[in-house]
Amino acid sequence: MRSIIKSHFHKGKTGFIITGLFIILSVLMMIIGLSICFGIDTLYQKARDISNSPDCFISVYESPYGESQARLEEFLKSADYVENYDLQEIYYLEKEEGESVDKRLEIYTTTEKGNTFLSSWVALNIDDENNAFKPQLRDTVEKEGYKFYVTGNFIATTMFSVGDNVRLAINGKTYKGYIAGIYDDMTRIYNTAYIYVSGELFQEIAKQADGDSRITREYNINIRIDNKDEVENARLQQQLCKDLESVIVQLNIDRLTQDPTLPYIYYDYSTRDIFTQGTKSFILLLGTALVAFSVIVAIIVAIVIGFLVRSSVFDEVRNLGVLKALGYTTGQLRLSYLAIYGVICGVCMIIGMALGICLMPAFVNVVTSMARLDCSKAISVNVGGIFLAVAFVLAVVSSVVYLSTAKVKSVTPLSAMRNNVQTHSFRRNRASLDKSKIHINAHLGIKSVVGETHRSIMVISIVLIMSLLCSFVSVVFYNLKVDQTAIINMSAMENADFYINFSNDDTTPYFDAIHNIDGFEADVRHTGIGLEIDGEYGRGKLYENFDYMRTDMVYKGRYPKYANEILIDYAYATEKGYKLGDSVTLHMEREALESDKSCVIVGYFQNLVDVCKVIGFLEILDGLYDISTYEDSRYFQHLIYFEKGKAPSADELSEILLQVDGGKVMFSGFQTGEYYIGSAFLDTVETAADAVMSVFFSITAIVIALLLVMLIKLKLLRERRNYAVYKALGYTSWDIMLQIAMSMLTLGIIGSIIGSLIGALTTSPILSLFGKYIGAGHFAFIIPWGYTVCIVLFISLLICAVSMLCAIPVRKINPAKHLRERG
Amino acid sequence: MQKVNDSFVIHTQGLCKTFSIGGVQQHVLNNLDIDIVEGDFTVIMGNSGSGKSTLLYALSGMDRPTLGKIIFGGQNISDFSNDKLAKFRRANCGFIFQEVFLNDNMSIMDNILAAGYLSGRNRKQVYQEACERLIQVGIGKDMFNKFPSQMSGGELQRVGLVRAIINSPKVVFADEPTGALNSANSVAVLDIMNKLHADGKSILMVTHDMRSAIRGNRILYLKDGVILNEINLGNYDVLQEKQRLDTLKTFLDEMGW
Repeated sequence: MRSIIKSHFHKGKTGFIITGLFIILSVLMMIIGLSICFGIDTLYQKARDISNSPDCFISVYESPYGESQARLEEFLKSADYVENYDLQEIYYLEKEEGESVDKRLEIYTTTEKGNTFLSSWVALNIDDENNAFKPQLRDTVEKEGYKFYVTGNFIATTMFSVGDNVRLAINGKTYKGYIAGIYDDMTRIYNTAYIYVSGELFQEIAKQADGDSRITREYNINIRIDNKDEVENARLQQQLCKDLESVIVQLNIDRLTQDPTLPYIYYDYSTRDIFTQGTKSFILLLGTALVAFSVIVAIIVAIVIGFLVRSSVFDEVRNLGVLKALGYTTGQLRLSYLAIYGVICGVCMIIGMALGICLMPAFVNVVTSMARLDCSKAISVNVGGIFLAVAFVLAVVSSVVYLSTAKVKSVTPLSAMRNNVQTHSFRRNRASLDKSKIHINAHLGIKSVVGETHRSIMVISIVLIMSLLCSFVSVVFYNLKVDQTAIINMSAMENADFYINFSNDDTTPYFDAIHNIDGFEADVRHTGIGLEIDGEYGRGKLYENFDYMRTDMVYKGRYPKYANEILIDYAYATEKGYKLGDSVTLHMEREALESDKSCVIVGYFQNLVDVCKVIGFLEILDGLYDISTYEDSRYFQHLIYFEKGKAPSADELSEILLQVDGGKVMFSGFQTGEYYIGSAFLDTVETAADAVMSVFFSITAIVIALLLVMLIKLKLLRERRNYAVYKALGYTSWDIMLQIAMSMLTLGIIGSIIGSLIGALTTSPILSLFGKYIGAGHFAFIIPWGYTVCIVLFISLLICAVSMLCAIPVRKINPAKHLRERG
Repeated sequence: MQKVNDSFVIHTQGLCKTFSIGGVQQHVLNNLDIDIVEGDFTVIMGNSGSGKSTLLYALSGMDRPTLGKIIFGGQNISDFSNDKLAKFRRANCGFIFQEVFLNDNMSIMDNILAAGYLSGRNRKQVYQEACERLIQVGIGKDMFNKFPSQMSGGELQRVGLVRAIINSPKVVFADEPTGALNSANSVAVLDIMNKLHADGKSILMVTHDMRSAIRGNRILYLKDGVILNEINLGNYDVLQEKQRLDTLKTFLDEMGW
């Protein structure tokens, strides 16, 4: 038996090596993909532990300071799901109207895409010894001045970078410092920037707080939930927020009952789950894509092994017959094939595992940048993933080998002696030369396509799969990188020319300046709010009107026309069973004493990246709260629209705005739409698109090249005598190389055209099928037909080049030598 | 180019062929000067290992001599590149092999056309000629689309013969054409070759079979890589077969065969 196995190995070395490479690729990708998918939940939990983040925080502003602390602490001590908490003194700094340049209270930076004046932020004390959730710092730099530490998310979504100089002016005193590093916090991501400063500066701010109304003393409670299960933990996070909110609402009721003139207790909270949801879907997509690719490579392995085993049985029919005559059973002969492929599979799986473990850190880096956290130690190769990958590949290989050797059953000593020549043959002469109108080499190439059905089906299948993948990836790439209309439509983010935040309500001089810019079209006010939808926490986006919207957010239904109409997140609506025409009750979280607002759902929007659940008219705010208190322009973001092609550059607009009112800067920064959406998510997906595109095209090229190397080597081995005869008849080496290339090219063109077309046409439906789990159930990606043609050309050229190169050994075929070999 | 007799279709000067087998040089053809006359049915005979097939492949341009010149149709083909040799063969040489070597994945008609279309002639004419030739050799139309595995050895050799002559080569080279055939099929194939010869075709055949050899008009005897002697039997006549056989037998006896 051992000698039979050895004989199999020596006769098909090239095939085995290439099959082995595919097995390695499949195993390593599946291990990495599964490790990412399986590790996603623990990733965030470990990242929480590494970064020492809480699960929730609540910031409370009240006057007098600290009155509610006891009630909240009492609740937290009684809540059995709370693991621990701490209480932090913090300062909220906000720039006020009428500040001169010298009195700016802000962090400032500028880039070519716009400029940012961070007008309001929260200062936390990095040297606070009582902080149970003291952050882990990274990417730290040392410079002269006060140190400011910001979150990774802050760096990712703003124009600030580590090392930037920062100036803080309070009551005429200026504190110069710099962004000294990053801390990872998984709760503080929205609305306000939470910045840790050195204890020294923190004390300075505290001292100044009494004399500056722009600085308010607040406290912050960081809480960690006592539950290791991420799903349950997330549920408890939301539960905790609701419970804390109830405590504060009751506190407000008690206070107002005692004295109606007392001010409200204001609060803001966020959870780790909200942060997680923003990045988790993309990381899961990466993991799933790797697993899917691994499965595809495994299918290729199955096709290749099927072909090799069948070819081997066909070629070895005489030997198999002799072995049967000697007494070997069918089972033993099939086992010999299983044994050789088992050995190859085992060796390659070990190599695949080793490579998977070695390459994991590279993928972890990608995951880290996607998660906007330093979580490189939070994810590692998953043992379950290794087990599943090994089991899957082993099952595929063994079942394919077993099925492919079925033909051994029908081999008898007699049929083997006749070299499998059948008494009756029903073969048809396809693509006969007598009707040929094309060049003889091309015709002979095509003839070999129809004459070797198994090989042709295999090549077409593999090229089809690979071109389908390339087409799929290119459609995604085009829509993420080249024409982003479709993906922006799914992001629920408007793509105005500029987003401007003002620092006071006297915006007239600025708008006069903006209105005078040639091509000015509109200014639309917009704000984001926290609210409850039928009692469940959510976030909403409100617009003054929808007349100038460039992002077509409406997936189904229509834009709101009246103040009580809203759009609702499709995934959320599906989860909750909301239908078009249903009514929901909205409730502002801060204004618990105000009345609820009933709104009608008139359309769905898709929500690929944002956590927004509701989109409606600004007037809704009026129903939830007295909008007049919001009349101050600084509560709104202004979306500025210009006519197509007439928008000024960020530099030009900056110049214009800085000249208003004698250089007295009254706006708190602006961003271009491109930057606004880019920083939110497009930059991440663009980077991913580049990487995925290059990886997929490289792997496609490698897979196709390896396949051709194997097939052509096999063909040269099996057909060397025919080629020797061709040469004797007068065919040159070049003629034969052309025939080989033509046969492969024909198969490649067929496979790539079918694959590219299927890929292009099915990208959106497939993404929609999986996208509904991440909030995007309807992808309407543009099909870039030019790319589809390029894929066919790329694969065709690749096949042509590789075939010609692999066929070069034809030159060594000496007709005299080969024809002298008898038998 | 050296002037050679116009009646010689092939002329060699100092032809040598050496093989290296296991590091040992084996001289198969030794300084051989040979002339193949146009229109002759030349037969090369000799013991096994005497270099018959090596000589045939060298003369036909399928193999390169180690030393010496081969002047074929007035051209020194020993200097040709492999591709030039291939192109030369397609116009000047036809081959008949003992094992026929038809492509199993192609019908017999396609096997012939794959050779015929190389000439660059009108494809309809080539096809027409292939049909006519096949019918001439006894292959019916109903068999044109059959595969080699569906035919007998004799039929295959006749197909091989048609393939060899489809481009009207200057010389038909035959390497043991009847070696794998039974007696009846051998006679049929040899009859066709004699007919070709009668039509003016030059034929160079290697054989160790006397019944095949007597079909030629000129018999060369090769021994240890040199032509030991030759005999001219005149053109084949079926009525003189026995006499030709005796003459050849005597000649071969003299050669120590």
